[in-house]
Amino acid sequence: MPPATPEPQGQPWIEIHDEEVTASALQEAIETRLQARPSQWSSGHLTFPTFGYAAPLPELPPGVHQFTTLHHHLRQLNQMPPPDTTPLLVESPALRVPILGRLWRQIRGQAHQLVLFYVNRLAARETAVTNHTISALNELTRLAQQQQAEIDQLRAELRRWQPPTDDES
Amino acid sequence: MNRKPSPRALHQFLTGATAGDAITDQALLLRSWLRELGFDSHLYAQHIHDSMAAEVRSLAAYRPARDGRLAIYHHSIGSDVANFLQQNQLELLLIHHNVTPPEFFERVNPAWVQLAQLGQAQLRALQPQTVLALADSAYNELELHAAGYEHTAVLPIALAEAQLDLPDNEPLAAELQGKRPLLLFVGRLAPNKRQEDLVKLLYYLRRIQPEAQLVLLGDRWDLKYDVWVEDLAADLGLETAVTLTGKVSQQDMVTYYRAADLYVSMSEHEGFGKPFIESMYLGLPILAYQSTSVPYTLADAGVQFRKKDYARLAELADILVTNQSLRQRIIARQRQRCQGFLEAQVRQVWEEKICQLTR
Repeated sequence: MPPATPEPQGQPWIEIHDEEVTASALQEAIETRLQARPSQWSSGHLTFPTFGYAAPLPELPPGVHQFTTLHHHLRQLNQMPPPDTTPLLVESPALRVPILGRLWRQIRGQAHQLVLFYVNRLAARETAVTNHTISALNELTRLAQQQQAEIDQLRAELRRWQPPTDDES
Repeated sequence: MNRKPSPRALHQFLTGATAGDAITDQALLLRSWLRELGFDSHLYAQHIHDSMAAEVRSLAAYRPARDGRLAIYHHSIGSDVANFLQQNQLELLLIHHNVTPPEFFERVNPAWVQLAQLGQAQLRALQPQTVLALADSAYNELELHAAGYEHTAVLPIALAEAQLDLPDNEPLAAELQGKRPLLLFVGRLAPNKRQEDLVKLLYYLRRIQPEAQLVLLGDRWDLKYDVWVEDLAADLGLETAVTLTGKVSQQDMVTYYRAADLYVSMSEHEGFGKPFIESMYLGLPILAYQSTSVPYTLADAGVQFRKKDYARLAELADILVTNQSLRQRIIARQRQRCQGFLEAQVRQVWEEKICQLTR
């Protein structure tokens, strides 16, 4: 998402043009109301997920081997095209029969549309499921890589603090 | 025998035409004004919804007129229409409705990213053949200048009073009476409109006003953003408090405006924001995130904010819903502001520009 309009420094965050109430007065009233609210309200700020393909395929950090196989599968999964949900009505020799062929085409077309309606609904649902799954796997991999990097860093730190063994000295 | 001279031709070109769409509505209005000025005027579009089949002609049906090389083009997204106008080397009166930045579609739909990028490129490409570029807001005019246009002016979207002075849909109005306080947003379900942020605001407002409701009125579109908004509402336990109406009739839309307590907008990209002038006209106080064209359309009317702090915004929304004297003053100022968008005013600007171009 592009950045929102930057907040001007020192200006009130509300803009109101009114003969009786200023933006500052309104902000003060809001702060007073907030202070009077139950204390658990202020501690419980929610975080919300972001719309869209929230987790793209994470990069495999150089020199990291634990994730090679996982990345292979993930890359394949991310590259799969979504299913096409608009199959065509296939031509058949019967459609070329005069008069009856036209009638048959109409009946067949109507029946096809009905099937398509349900197939498209199903395919759209399955596509959504796949997208959420891929996104979740990407995000899990990103988190796992991040945690692995932290573990490696802590291990290195730990090694620095450990006294050298007899072999090393 | 004296033959009546054939009227001069001045046609309009759009990418898509569908009933209730702000650009289509404006094109229809301009067509009626042009015809009253004596022009032979039709609408041509690449994509024509069934609802507009009787009003709009297909782009392929266009034949260049012998008596005029001037055409009106409504620009809002990348399309074949711009290429068509370039190939036909028509002189253009371009009306810029703004292109939604591609960044908003980046993680949603690659095809829309491409169309938005194409729209931005076409705006620059059409500059040499444009004799006058009109923007429907001062914000859009700035974009025209950035794209190299020099001869520009602002022609706002006109407020069609007749379309808003409709009686309520009584059964709907009665149903909405039980939903208080009612927050309303009008606009198609799109990532740049940030309807999801309205759901978050509702979550916080319901801590203060447990019965608060949110109506999101507008085309569901095909980006699956509507599903996301519904899922988010369900995650937050708000499935019965958030209503996505889809497209509704003009009468139903007016009924929603009249029944609502507050018009709220979290939109991060608006080229003009037609629902703002509709809200102002119909006496609904506005609370809007100050982005892109919003401060230009609202000017000193409504209440704007620059920070999406939901806890504070919920308090502000509650004040605007419950403080009757403040509400009345806001409504009065909004009514004053919307006078500049009435048909008579906009038509005057339009006719001045057309006369300058065609005399």
